[in-house]
Parts: sequence; C-alpha cells; structure tokens
Amino acid sequence: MSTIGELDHGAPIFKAVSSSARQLFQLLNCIRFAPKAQVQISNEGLRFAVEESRVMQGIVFLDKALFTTFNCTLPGPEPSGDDPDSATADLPNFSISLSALLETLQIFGAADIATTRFSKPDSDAYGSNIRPGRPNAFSNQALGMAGVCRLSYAGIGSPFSIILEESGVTTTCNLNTYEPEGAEEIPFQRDAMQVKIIMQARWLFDAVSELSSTSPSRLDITAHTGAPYLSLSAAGPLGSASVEFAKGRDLLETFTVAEKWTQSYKFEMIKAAAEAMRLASKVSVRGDEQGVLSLQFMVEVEGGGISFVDFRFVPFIRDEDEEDEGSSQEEEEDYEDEDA
Amino acid sequence: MAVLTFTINPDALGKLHDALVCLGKFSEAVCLEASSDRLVLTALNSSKSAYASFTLLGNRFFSKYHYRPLRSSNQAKEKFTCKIYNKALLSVFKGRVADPSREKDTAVERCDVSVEDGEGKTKSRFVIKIVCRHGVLKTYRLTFESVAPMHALFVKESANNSWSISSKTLREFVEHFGPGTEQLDIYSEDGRVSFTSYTEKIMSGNEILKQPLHTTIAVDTLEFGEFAVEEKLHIVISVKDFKSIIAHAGITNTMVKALYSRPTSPMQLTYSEDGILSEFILMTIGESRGASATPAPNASRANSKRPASRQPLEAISSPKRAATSMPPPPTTAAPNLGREPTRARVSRPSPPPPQPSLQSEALFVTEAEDRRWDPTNFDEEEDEMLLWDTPGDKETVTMNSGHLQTSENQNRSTNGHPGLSAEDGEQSYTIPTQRLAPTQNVSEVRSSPLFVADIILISGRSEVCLIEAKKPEYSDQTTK
Repeated sequence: MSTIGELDHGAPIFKAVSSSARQLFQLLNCIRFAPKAQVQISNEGLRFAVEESRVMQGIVFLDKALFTTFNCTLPGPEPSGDDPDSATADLPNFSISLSALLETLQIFGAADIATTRFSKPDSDAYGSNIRPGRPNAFSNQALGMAGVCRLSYAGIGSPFSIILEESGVTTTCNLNTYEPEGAEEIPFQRDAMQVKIIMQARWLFDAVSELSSTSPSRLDITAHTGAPYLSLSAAGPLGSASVEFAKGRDLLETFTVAEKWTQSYKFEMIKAAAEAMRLASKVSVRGDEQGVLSLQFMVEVEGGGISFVDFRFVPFIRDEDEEDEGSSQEEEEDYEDEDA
Repeated sequence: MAVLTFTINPDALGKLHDALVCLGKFSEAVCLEASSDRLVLTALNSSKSAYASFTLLGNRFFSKYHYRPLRSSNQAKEKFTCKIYNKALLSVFKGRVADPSREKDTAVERCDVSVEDGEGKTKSRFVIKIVCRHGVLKTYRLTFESVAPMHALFVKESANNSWSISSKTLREFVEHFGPGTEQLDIYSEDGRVSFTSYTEKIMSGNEILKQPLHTTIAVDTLEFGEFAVEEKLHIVISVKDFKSIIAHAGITNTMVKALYSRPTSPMQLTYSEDGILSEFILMTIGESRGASATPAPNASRANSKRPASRQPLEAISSPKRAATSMPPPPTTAAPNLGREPTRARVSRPSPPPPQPSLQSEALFVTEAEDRRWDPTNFDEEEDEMLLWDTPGDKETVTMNSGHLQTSENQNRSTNGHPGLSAEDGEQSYTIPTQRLAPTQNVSEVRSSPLFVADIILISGRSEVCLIEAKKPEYSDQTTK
C-alpha cells in the first residue's frame, strides 16, 4: 500500500482502459495451461508469457490497439522508439497468477460457455460450430451494456490492479505481482526454418481433436514435399489415427518444406493449444532444424483487430535413422510399421 | 489382404453412430460379424440380461460392401468375427452426426472401412478412412480382438404375446419414467395397457433408502398397431434397457414390435429402417409384483407365499440369466424386496393388519412405516413420551421402563395413594386426564406402557387391581 502511495505523485507506469474484458479474457484463456504468467509491459502493449517444464511456451501479446486508452510511462530515459530487443531488460517485468487474472476478467460472465468444448466435443453441437469469438445477439456488448475494464500497474512491488465496471457494478481487484522468473524463451531459429505452413486454425483444431480420440501420448507431425503434404498422427492403446491434408492447394495457404520433415511432440502439450486453435482464424506452423515447433495463431477478436498468440514446443528426441524402419518403441510400433 | 471392405456415405455414417451409441449402453465392447451380405453389430451386457444387435444389410446400408472370406489352412471361413472396444469406434464416428451443412470445413464425404486380418506379415487392424472435404484424410487403425460373438436366442414360436407401437409414441412414454426407477412392468387389462416404471430397491446396506417411485402410463390398446397379449399378464423388464432401446428407436419413426411369452422368459423387441434391422432381447424378471394391484389385505399375504413357487421357475428357465439387472440376487431376498413397496403403496387406502412376521420389516420398511405398524415398540415410545412428563416423575418412569414389576413393587410397598400425592403433588395434578380407568383393556395398557407408569404413581392400588384382574402373569411376578 505504501508503495502505491509513494508512487502516487507520479503517474503509474502503466494505465490502460479497455471497453471489454471479454477480448482480453479470450486471448489470455488460450494460454491458461500454466498457473503463472510472466508479464512485460511495453509501449506497444502487454506481453503475457506462460511456460511449462521449459518445453512448451505460450505467449499472448495484448496490443495497445485492444485498449481504448493505453498509457505507458516507462521509467528511465529509454526512448520508446528504440529497438525493442535491447530495451527488454528495462521493461517492467513481473509475474502474476494467470488463473486469478482470468477469474477476474470473467467475473461479469465474459467466459465463453464453450470453453470446455475440447474435452466434451459433442456436448453442445450448436455452440461448437460457431466461432467462439463471434458476438452473440444477447451479449452485453450487443445490448449496449458494455463495461469498462481498467488495468494499471504502479511499479515494481505494487499490485496489478484491474477495475471492471459493468452496468453500475464495479469490481476492483489487485493481483499480487511476483518477481519475474526470468524464464528463457525456447529458441526458434528463424534462419534455419525447415517448414512453414499457413492454414486455417480450425482444421488444425479438428485434426488434433480427432487424434485425441485414441488418447495418445505422442503426436507426430510430418511434412512431405509430395502427396500427403502434411500429416498428423498419433497412436494410443486403442489403435492409431492419422489426419492427412492431401490436397495441399486448397487447404494450405502457404506450404514450404525443403525436405521431408517429421517430429514428435507431447500430445498433451499440443492439446493445450487447442483453445487457441479454436479461437484463431489462421495458424502458421513452423518448424526449425532442431525440431522446435512454433505455432502462431492469428486471432480476430471482436472489434479489436488482429492479435497473435504464439506457442513453441520442444520435440521429443528422435533417432533419425530409426523412424522409417519401424522404430521399435513400444507404443509407436503399430503405426510406424504400417506406414513403412 | 482386406477381409472386409465397405464404404459408408455420410448419411449412413450418422445411423451407424446412433447404433453404436445404443450398443454402448449395453456393453463397452461391440462384436462385429461379417458375412457375405450383412454386417451384424452386437452387444451383450455384463450380466447377460440384455442383448442388442443391429444388422446392417450389405446392399442397402452400405454404398459398397465386399466380404472376401479368409482362406485359411483348410477352408474358407464363412464369417468374420471380431470384437472392438466401442469407445474407439464411437470416437471415430463421433461428432459427425452434426448437420453437414453447418460444419462445412470438415464435412465427411465418404468413409471407407477395411478390415485387415492376416496371418503373418499383415497386421490385423480395423482401418477406417474418412475422407473429408478438401481432401483431408483421417485414418484410424483400430485394434480388435478376434472372438466369436455371443448371440442371444429367442424362440419366436413360443412367444404368444405380441404388440407393436410407433417408436415416437413409446418415446413419449419413456420420457416420463423417472431416472431412479429400475423396473418396467407391462400389464394389460380391459383394453388398457399400463406401463409402470418403479423401483424396488429401497435400501443399500442399512444406509440411505431409495425412494420407491412409481410412474404408470395407461394406454388404450388402440394406440398400438397390433395388440395380442394375454390379459392381466405382468411382464417386467429393466427400465434402463428399455430406455436405451427407445432412445434409438425414437430417432426415426418406426414400428417397434415386441414379442414375449411369460415372465422369466426373454422378450424380443424389433424394428427396422433402411437397411438396419434392430433386434433386442431382454430378460424379463419374475413377476415380482404379483397380484399386488388389488388393494385387499390378503394380497400381500398371498404374495409372501408366491416366491416359493416362483423361485424355481427362474432358476430353471434361465440359469445363466438368474442374475438379471435387478440388483439383489433373486434368491429369497428378492421377493421380499418386491413385496414391501407394494404393501406400502397399498396400505394407504386400507391399511392391512400389521404383519406378524418381523423378518423383513427391519430392513425393508421405511422407519416411519415401521413405527406405525410395530406393535411392541416399548423403548422408543417411552423415550418419546418422557418429554411430556414432569421432572419429579422421571425417576419412577425410568425405573418403569426397565422393569414394570420393580416399580410396582416399590410403589406398593412404600406408598399408599395419599402419601404419593403428597410426595409428588405436582405430578398428580399435571396428568389427571391421563388417568386410566381400572377397566382398561390390557391391550391398551400394553400399547402405551407409560400410562401404566402414571397410574402406578397416582393410585398404586388401583393399578395393582387392574393388573391382577386382567393380567395374571404380572400379578404373579409382582407378588413373588
């Protein structure tokens, strides 16, 4: 409290007003696979990064375009137009509880009913087929009861406060901020990119939810230069499943692959990105030499233009020689064999 | 080499899914049996009391169907049989039942299934290839178990009762059956058929009692397409199984035909629609409700004798099905279970005399019911009545509750009537109205022992008189 008072004479480092908490919620909900998020405030917006076991990372960037007003007075003489990479160290950086933040943002019911759609795909046949981001005729936004969401952060050690107002009800929430964990980003070699695919996110979602039926532990992603182009496959105790996007032309907006590229990832992790797949309109799938997978989702949030949600995954170690002659790994055995 | 290949169009895919959902309600595994012109999907539940089968006709249901018998060592097998975990099949066909016009991007165009089963190099897999729009190909390779399915047999010739009714109508009925009910009784009398769903299970251990719930739907026989059933025949099947069937039958408007003979013999339900023949065989439960519909008090007594004659019937007619879906084993416990709720229901209009037999009521009658009919519940009643007594009275009463004769002795020996009223004066004024006449019936005295206690206090001598006059055994004890 004293810190807030002390800093009161100057403006808080960061202050932003959004006309709706819903968009923020939708975006942040995409990366809710871990309890804590690292937040970085810059002149361009807010960056939320979440990671799990150093092998999966999710980043949401809340662009300042999402806010009606966005004030960020960075401490120190750092000019805002500087190269963002060099400025990173000086930017306000802290970590907060993501689940608490999401809970706050949806306090007025911003939550999408269909958030659990991935786990129960056929529970709501109607809702499942509408893009979740689409405004509902009876949503508060449509009825002109839009609330206001104010975010502010005074400085190091002070809480991240959220004030939500909706039809006369005000909720004030101060979330404790923690020391940033300083997690390193999963390195993705842009210059050694092996594959780049841009496609409809919905198809990726469909494929992943299709594969989840076999309750697999691993997901294999293979990009071919020829016929099946892109195939995702997984094997579980009940059998194996694969989804192939054979007609590359219609399905894949961009498809660049130097040579056959195949990697496996932990299925549960890819599945954690399902919310983003569901919400996003397009996805860019990229893989580098080392097998790091980057999924960039383009999300069109109502009224907020375009936002991006990024995921990076570290692959399982594969023995390059083994993959074609039926790798004798226990659960993979079935599929690999038949594939050969 | 593929043993079996077939192609399903999106329309039939939905139907296949519906069938699988229905089979899933009976068993977690589906048995497939392919022959040259048809594919039969069956499921038998774990207690072997219900059997479901869907016959998919090769030329009508599938857009392509080809069965190539496997030429094994000696001769070609006529049929190919296997067992697949239903969950795997369901997840393959799930979600595609949705209107294809809405889900444009991932609409299914075709589904090719091939079963590969070979010795040696080829893997035995049930391969499902789903071709979606835009050339998205989804391939599933499911493992299967190569076992012969178990089929339930139904002898049509012996089934003299039959009826058929629109599935939509049945579906409406089924909606009324409460989720807690377990049995469904079908009964017809005077041109009316009643479907009664009820539950017999009242207790579990000695814990929470399940509320008996009865829902009766009476239908005129005119509602039926065909109706030829023996009058006043109770046939009882499991509500859950019936609901599962109707849930599937009700999807389309079709005629459901039922065939059965008598209780404890199987009942067959069949219906068909474009290329799918659905058949269900359900075990019927012994006529546990008996003649309970008549509210005469002797009915319950007659009932209690019935189990003895019925029990062997069940055992003989279907030994393997003795354990039907009824939770308790159908040994002597089952008839008791069956009788009790009936009695409770019947007792409202005209309560039958309390049953002398105590063997069942401790467990199977609700507490309130139990107390009402219990003729000799000394302890509880006294405890209750105690609340109304004045404190001065308590001591004597507690003694009383233990042994009647003790207090009598005490009272008689130490106090005469006036002495007592002086000592417990307050008490004698508070309960004067409860004083009993000396000529009271013994039965009355017995039914409310506390009154006896009061009398002892107030007028010890008259009490002794009363006891001596009416109940020699008491006087014997006291004088000793």
